[in-house]
Amino acid sequence: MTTAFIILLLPLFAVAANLLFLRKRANFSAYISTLSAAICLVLTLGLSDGLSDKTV
Amino acid sequence: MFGANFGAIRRLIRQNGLDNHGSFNWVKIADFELNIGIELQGLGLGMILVVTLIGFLVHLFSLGYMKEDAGKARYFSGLSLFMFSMTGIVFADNLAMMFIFWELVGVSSYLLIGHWYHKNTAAEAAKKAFLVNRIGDFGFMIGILLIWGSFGSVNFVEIEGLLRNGNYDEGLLNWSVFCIFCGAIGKSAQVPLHVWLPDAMEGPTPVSALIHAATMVAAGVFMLTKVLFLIEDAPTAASVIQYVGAITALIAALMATQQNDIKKILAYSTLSQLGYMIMAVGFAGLLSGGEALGEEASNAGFFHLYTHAFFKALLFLGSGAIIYACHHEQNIWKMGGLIGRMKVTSFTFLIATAALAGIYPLSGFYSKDAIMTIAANKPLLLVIGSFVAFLTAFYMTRLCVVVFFGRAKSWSAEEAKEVPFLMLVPLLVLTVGAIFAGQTFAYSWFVPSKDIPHPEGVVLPLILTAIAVAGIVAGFFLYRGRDQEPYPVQVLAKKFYLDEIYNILVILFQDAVAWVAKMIDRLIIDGLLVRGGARLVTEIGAVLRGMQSGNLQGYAFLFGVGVILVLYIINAAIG
Repeated sequence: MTTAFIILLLPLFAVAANLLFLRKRANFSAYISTLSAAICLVLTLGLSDGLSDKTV
Repeated sequence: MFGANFGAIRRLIRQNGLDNHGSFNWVKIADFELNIGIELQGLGLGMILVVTLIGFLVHLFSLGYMKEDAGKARYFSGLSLFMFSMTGIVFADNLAMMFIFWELVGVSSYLLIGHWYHKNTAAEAAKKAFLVNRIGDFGFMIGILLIWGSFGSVNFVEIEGLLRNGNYDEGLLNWSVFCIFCGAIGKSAQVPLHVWLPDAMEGPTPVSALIHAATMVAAGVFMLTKVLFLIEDAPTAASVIQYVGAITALIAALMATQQNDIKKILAYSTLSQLGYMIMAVGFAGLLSGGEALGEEASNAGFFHLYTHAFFKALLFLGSGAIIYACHHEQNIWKMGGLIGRMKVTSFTFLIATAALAGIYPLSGFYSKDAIMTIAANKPLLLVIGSFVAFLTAFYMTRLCVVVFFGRAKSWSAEEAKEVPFLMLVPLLVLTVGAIFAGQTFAYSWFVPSKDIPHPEGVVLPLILTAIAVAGIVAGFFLYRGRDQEPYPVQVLAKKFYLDEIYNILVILFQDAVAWVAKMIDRLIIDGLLVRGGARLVTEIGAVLRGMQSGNLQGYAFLFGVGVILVLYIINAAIG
């Protein structure tokens, strides 16, 4: 379930990072959020693949 | 390189041995324990993919769409907060945790709708969405408390186990399910709490695609699939769910036929499709041949949620591209002829429209078939569903004919040109989803194909296809070459005057409550409790003040009267 917790918490870290850079480096904030969303998607695809073998 | 990394991550996940459940204790008060837990299986897998995939594509689209926005960092923070909240809802293994993330989703939705808060309409829309959702959430909270009171647990697995033992009160269970459904009414914008969703289109268009089309509004449907075992044993509440869904689908589709704002048409379309999903999930509690339809019905509802997420997000992002290209023009009657100027966007938008209309072999065809197969258990709802399918094809064709064909009706449409490649990528990826999401290989990894209801024979699919084609033909011939709405129907354009009725009701209710509060304050608190004591002392003082006249004869007279009175009392007492 570590992966699931990472998927859950990664966007929250992105929010925290964005708050640090808010107004100063807007582009950087946008890239951090997008990167976190991309990592979540990749992890989800892996998670789905791993779990679907077990439960479905 | 990306592929290699992805492969490595997959191997890592597999080697670490995945489990579909994990939790840790968060709160422990006497016998009551509340866990932060993660549960991921079945439909949850499909939902988490929808959230992360559409979420990522919307982030990507926003990089182009919000390029010049002054509040870009705030906007992306809101998106990330939403992603965190939404994944929390999907992962939650108990109602309390789900409710916490449910509220966080409400907060992030409020922040994103009101992103352009300097616009009065956006600020008002954010407030409206927040307040209307609170009404539904209050019901949800009551429902959770009723469940906890009945079963002593809020954990999905534990509640299901206790329910299977048969030790529960059916009346109370019906009320619990109904209260929990109130949360879905608010979040999934069902009648009568649907009024916030069209106004929420004041937010940036990518937000509309992510939150108000694909994920947040679908959270209500997903939540109902999580408490499916409760709905199965609560037939009265299940009936309410079916009819609320059907009425929402019908009313919203009718309203969509007369809207002129491209995003509002899509918003009403979303309401209508959510109505379909809710109606299907409601059938879980319908007894058919002695057994509740259960998972079969909920799978049909979720299947439509899954396919709808792709083509509706595509439609919203497509509308965002059109609005961006038309210098932020949203009125469809000021567009026209865009198919020649925005070829890729037009192509993807038309594919999504066909999927929404339920044209074979696109994804919407299969999911609508599944819902209608379930609806066939109640002929009235089947008729309503079929009529809604006709209206869906009709209003989407109206939109496409006016926006993409004919001549440009304003300078903004004349100057429109294709959006940057960064914004086209999400459209193309979602087009693949809109085409293939209904195929077995695209969904069987989270729900087996045999568990999704499919119509027996070809009669129902043929009828549904004929209905969709009829809607497309009617829309095409009625709106071809028109420069303005040729058939205005005020009652539909004004959304059945529901906003006005709500305003009157709110004002009346508010005035009535204010009058009662005023009377309690003036008569009881001010008149009796606060000023009553002071007035009593004042009145007694006024009477006693008469005796303090300063007249010596008067005091002698009162003294004499007093002595006589005392003597009289002593005399009376003695004998």
